[in-house]
Amino acid sequence: MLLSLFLINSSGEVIIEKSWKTEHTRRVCDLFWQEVLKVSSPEELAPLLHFPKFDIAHIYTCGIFLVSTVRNTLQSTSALELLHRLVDTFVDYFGEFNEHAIKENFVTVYEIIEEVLDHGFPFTVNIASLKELVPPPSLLSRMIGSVTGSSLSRKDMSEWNSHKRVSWRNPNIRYAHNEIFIDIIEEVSAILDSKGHCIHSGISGNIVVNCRLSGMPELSLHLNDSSLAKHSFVHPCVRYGRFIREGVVSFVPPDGVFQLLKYELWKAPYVPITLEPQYSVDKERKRGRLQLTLDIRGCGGKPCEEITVSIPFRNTMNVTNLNVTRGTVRYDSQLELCKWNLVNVDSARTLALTAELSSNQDKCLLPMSISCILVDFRIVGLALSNLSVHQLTVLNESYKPYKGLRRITKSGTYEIRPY
Amino acid sequence: MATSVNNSFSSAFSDAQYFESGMIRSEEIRRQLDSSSLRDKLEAMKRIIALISLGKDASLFFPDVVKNVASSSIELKKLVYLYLEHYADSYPDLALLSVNAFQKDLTDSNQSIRALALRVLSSIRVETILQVVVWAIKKCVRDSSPYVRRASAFAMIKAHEMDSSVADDLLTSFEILLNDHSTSVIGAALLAWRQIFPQRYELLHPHFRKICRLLVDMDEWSQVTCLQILMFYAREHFPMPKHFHVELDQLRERSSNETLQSESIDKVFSSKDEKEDEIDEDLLLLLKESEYLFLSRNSAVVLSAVSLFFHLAPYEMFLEKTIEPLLRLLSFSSDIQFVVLEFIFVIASLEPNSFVPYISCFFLSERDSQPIREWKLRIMKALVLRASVASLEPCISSLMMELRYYLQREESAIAHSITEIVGIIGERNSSWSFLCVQVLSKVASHSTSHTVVSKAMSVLRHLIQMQPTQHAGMVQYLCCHLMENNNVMASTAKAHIIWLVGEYHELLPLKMSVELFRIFCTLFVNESNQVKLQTMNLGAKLLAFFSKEIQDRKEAVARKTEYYDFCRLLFAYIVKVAKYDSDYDVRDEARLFEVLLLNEDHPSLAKLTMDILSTKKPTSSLWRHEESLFVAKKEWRERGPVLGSFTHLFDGKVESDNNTFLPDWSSVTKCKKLRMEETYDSKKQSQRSEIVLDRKSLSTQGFYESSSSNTEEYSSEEQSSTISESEEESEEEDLVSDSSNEQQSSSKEVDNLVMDVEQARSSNDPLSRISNDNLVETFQDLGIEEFSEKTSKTKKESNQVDLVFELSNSTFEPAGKDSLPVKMNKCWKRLVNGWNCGGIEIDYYVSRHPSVYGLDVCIVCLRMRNTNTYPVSNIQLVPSKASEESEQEQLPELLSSEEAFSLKENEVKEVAIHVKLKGRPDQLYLDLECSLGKFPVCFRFTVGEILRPEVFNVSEFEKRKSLMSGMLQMESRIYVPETTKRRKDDKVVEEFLHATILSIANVAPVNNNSATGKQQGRESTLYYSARIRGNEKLVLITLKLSFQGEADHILLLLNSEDIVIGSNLLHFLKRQIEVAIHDL
Repeated sequence: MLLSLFLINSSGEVIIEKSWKTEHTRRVCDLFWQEVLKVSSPEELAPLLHFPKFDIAHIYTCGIFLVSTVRNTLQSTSALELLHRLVDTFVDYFGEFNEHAIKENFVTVYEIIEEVLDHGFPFTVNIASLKELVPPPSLLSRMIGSVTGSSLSRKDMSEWNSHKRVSWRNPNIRYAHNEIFIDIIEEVSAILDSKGHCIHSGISGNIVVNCRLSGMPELSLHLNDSSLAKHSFVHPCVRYGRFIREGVVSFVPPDGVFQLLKYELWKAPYVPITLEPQYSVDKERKRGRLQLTLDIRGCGGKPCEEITVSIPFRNTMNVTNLNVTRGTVRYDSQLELCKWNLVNVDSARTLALTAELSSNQDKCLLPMSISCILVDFRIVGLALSNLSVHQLTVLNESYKPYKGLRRITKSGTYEIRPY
Repeated sequence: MATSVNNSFSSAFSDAQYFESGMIRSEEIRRQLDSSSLRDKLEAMKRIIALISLGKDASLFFPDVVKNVASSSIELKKLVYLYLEHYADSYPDLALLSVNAFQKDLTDSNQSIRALALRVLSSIRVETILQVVVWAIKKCVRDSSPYVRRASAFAMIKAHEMDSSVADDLLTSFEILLNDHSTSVIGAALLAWRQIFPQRYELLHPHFRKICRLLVDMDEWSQVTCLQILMFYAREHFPMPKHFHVELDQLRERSSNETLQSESIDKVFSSKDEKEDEIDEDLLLLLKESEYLFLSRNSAVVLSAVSLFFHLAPYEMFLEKTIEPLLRLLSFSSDIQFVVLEFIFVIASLEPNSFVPYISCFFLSERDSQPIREWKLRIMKALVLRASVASLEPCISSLMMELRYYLQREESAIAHSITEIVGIIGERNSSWSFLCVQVLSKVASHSTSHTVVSKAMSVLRHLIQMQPTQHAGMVQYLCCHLMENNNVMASTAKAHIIWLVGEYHELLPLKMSVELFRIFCTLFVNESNQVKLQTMNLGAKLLAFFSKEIQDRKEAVARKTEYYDFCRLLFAYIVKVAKYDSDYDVRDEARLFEVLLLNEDHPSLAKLTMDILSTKKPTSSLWRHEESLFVAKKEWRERGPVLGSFTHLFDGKVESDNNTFLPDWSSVTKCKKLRMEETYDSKKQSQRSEIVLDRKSLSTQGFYESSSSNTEEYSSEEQSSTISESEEESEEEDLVSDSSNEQQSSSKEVDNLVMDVEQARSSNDPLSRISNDNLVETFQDLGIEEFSEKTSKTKKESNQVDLVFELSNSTFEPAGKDSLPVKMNKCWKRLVNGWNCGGIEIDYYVSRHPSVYGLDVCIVCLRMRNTNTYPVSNIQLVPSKASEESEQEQLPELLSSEEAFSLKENEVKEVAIHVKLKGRPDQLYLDLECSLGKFPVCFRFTVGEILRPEVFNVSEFEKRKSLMSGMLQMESRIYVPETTKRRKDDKVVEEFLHATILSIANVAPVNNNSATGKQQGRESTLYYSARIRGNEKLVLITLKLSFQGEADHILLLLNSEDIVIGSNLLHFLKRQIEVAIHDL
């Protein structure tokens, strides 16, 4: 599938090189870099590129390009998905993913690549299994290594790993306190027009589980919405059949934090925050006033933890007399960006921002000089879709774990059209 | 505080230093590698790996690194392996040094080390170790750990990539993997199938249903592979489901009333009796099982399932199942979104109505990157192009608002596609057209971006041109707007408006167009070229109009004459000015108009011009034009490239190889019986006959083309009974005895052997115990037929053995390249058939008689027969030119052959050639020259034939053997099947083994006087020795037979100074013995 893999930093320097085909050397990277230089920012580059002799799939995260040449496969996303999985693995191992982390742990990076990919085909991608083969670096092991030269004793791969019934879980995990935490995190994306009407909205939700349970527990999670299966992607540990038939999520969890379920709802029942811009312009259209009215509604009595409204301007405007009824506001003339920060706002409040604008250019069409207004917010204790857990039962183990549930609503791409 | 300490502490031990330090001295690294301290070695390796990462050449350390391959530290080992994989192909000879370490690791008790050794061994791209790799694979497919078995599947792929001829050799190992119970192994095996045995569906038939059921339990990546394989499988073997294509009336029905397809889908799944004739049950099983995969969080799995449904499922089912998952995938990261949008684009252009309710998902967001914006717009365009008016109706106003917003944002990069969408909407329905015209005129009149304005105007002009009378008010508005703001507008927009006014001045108040003309005449000099041209146009049209009116003498002629004169004056003025313009287009047009309109001499010319100017301009349809450009056609589902393949994504740019196009549906259900999960025996039975059928059907498709005749040959042999086999044999014997030369040439051989045998009898070795029957068999093995006639009973037995060999051969090498099903224990092998060598049929055998040219030369006897109906002359064997050019030192060399000779029709002649061997069982390339032309001939020596016997006594043998311990010793176990044990005496087994070994390898038995005495309990040992022709390296073979209770096995020990040949020989012996003993 992959024929070679390169990690390139944002200045075009190759940090990690692995090739499964002799002809795919780092000359590939030079060609790739020429493409990068053609676009204004790395995100603008199409993820799949075609060259006369090979095809390239690449992703860009945290200042690093993961570039791979690929065979003419039947499924073009598998390469991209694999690269994402690699990044996830690195984050899991090193706690972060950036140029420094890679250089710091380059030997481990090579070892991971070696295990995850065999001859370019995915071999051991599962992080739980991988950790048996390549132990994550720790300060202790590094110190011992630098003194004695050998690492902490490596044991043979345990039996469970080879008998792949439940490849994602080591049955020998033991905890003094058995706990399981479930987070329902919903990201609301919306496009609102200038009158506060919703043009498009959607909820993309995640159920993230932090599992700290001993042994091989068998969990079943009953949700209040049993039709969720129609809108979900689930972790491979979930029994697909039962989920589709009964809407019950039954699974043997991996250890630690993992994403159990991801769901998409087309229309949000309501949008928690609306923003209405109003303009008044003088006759010559050179000066004007902007008034933003922010409405928070229907958050189920829960306060908004933080709200950030970003108003980007165009066409070099002079912004003066910035006033808000609450929170802090700043105008960054370099970025031409106005930021309004609010913390802990109760629901059912109306807040406002006013500003005076003027332009020293010939023509100034006031509404047009504002780009799309973006809002970021976070409400704890609320799931916008009203999804909740009815029941969580643990089978197969005798203990009674501590169970925690948390619901958070966040903003996804939440934008307000200024006109 | 604590963290800062921590940080500085950790940076002291940081590995990042290896990247920065410029002080990389090679001596230093070498010293560290040689040091006894593990720490130093590790550090040196880290430095080297960092060097590779930095793009520097670290190959000069190769010899020093290879030394560390046998280290006991896994960490060091992994780094060394990493290095080896990187550089092994440039140092094949040095890489060979590491082979023994791998072989040792392959027997390690730790499964991860076994797997690692196999993986790295197979990753080293050195062709000479290929046989070792194959041997290791065969060993590892039977490993107790699924992890190692999985690794062996991957190793198969790598071995096959190095040399595709190993495929047949790996077939049995592959089948073992496919029968595995672990899903991770089956997944890997299927990957191997796709890489190594594509199209050989006969291997998959019995597993089809199992694979379908296990699909959910496999790991994500295997699911992707399986879905792709099964998609091709289904196309090849199932007929098209009845409702694969949507019927036209159905389509109409759906578009008229928006009842979603839920009931009809239920029908497919629930009422089975009704649907049975419409969709194959196995296909239904596949669809049902892959439906679960839409839940996967891996986008590659979901998209593979989508393309499977797209290409296989009945239309309704495909629609219901795929749309939601696709839209859900839009929340994934932007690069995956990019591919998903391409999927949606294809499906949306086939079935737009289903996507229209979700059109707001494709509205552009601030955070979308440029490629994603382009795709979203393309999808919107597809929807407005293809969706029905009724389904678009509810969302059209929000869509128009959205489009207007994009235009107001003044992004020139996307302006073109947006205005086009607006234009198409306007064209689709006349009631929407007003909305579009309004939006566009507002944008055109207010925007500051020239690109946006000109794009908007051209579409606006197009829309007005479609229905001028309805939009008369708009033309008027634009005209007024232009007069008011003419200094702020883009020149393209001005030009468009002027053209509109000129074209539709009849719809405006007369004064307005004349006034506009007047204004632009005053501004003429400072305007842009297009505006100048259009101003002249407007003037010409006005002139034409007024002169016509005056001539027709309609009402208010006086005023019109006034206007006419006014316009004529202005027109004459601008033409005069324009004649001296800097632009040649303007000058040309001015001159043209001057001649045509202002020419007093030819009024008829002016009249004609005026007629031409006032004709109605034809309108083109943007909608139809765009639709005809669309790539996605209805046929895509059946014929198009696989959705999501590179051929699809880089449409046109990738040369489309056939692998990305699905085959056509089969006309009938194929091989249904084979997919039944029956008991093992009956399954095998039916499988075999089906293989024959399948291959025959495939033989025309190219893959089997080269060997199609061979496979047919196999099929007949496989099916024929023992009796017919022996008949065939006797026929052959007749033929043999017919040839008179035969006896002469083989008599020497006979003498030689008889001597051997007598010698053996006089001494007290195992050979003396060999029964008469077996001796005969041995002779027969060597091709001496007359002996076999002695006892018919033995003959029958040996025939059975023959058959076994044949069968084994055909299973191991079903697509053998240069030989027909070879009778291993008969000496004559078919080298070429008459039909591909100018009618000359050649059989050959490798003689064991020593050559006069030296020890490294062996004699090959050839028997040529002219099958033509005419004589052939000047026959001669010469070394092939191609092999001379390649100058490979290890290829065998032809030393001498006979003079040219001629053959009459059906004449048989035997010749002997002397071949110098170079220590490798490689192919010998020859050309057969004769009066008919030149034909390439090539034969391959088996590893047993490149040996020459070397006689030792036991003590000497043991001494030599002890010198070649460790890395030069290899071992293998052969298990004696229960049935054989029960029927046969141990002695018989032993004697049989002895005969087998002598027949398959040219080795000398060691006189083992004391062996019989040493025989403890039920154990005995056989010794053989030989040297490899060419490099004179020693090969010692020890066979330990132990018959103790249940665990009956033969231990095969092989000591060889040449590891590669040794492992090849070991593997070769083992295979032959296993086959032979199985049927004893």
